[in-house]
Amino acid sequence: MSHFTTIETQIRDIEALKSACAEMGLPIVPNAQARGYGRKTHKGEYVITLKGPYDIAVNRQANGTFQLVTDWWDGHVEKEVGKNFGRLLQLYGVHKASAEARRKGYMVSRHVLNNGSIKLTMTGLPGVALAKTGGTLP
Amino acid sequence: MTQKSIEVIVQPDGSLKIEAFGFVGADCEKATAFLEKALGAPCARRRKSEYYRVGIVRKTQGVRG
Repeated sequence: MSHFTTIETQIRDIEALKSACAEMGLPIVPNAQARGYGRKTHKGEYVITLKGPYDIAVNRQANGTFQLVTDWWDGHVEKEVGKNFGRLLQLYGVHKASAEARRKGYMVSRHVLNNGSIKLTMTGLPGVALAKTGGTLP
Repeated sequence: MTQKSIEVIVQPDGSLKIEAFGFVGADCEKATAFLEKALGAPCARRRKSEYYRVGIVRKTQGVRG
């Protein structure tokens, strides 16, 4: 019996995932083995090393998205990254959206709401910030 | 004139809402398209289409027919 559970995600930007991991204080290392129950391991193009006994393997799929694989046994992983990687995906979304908005010339501010959601406010005309700094629009 | 802005709310389960303010008509769709394309479905569970709440687009749908 394997305790590894596979969940398809739509993570497409490894840099944004690295930013999310950095914010959570979790190392993400290339070409490593994720630890699972009973000393089982799962190879990862990247592995997010957790403080608990199990890790998260990150592997690029044929369609270009990255798949997260972990061992949910006994709630160790859930405690660190949330149910179904929720907290990790939340911060991935925050970093990805912020980076894309800045690339478009928006200024981004970030606030944590009472319910745990993170609100990003993007202001300023796209292109204006770039023009001011002498950059060019894509 | 309302200042143009975009709000993205990313929830603790990774799902998100995108809303644009101060954009007119098709500009609104254009304003948020890059985010929708980039973020698509960051959560393992696909969201229903009505989860996206793109305010001004919905308000101007009647005008555009």
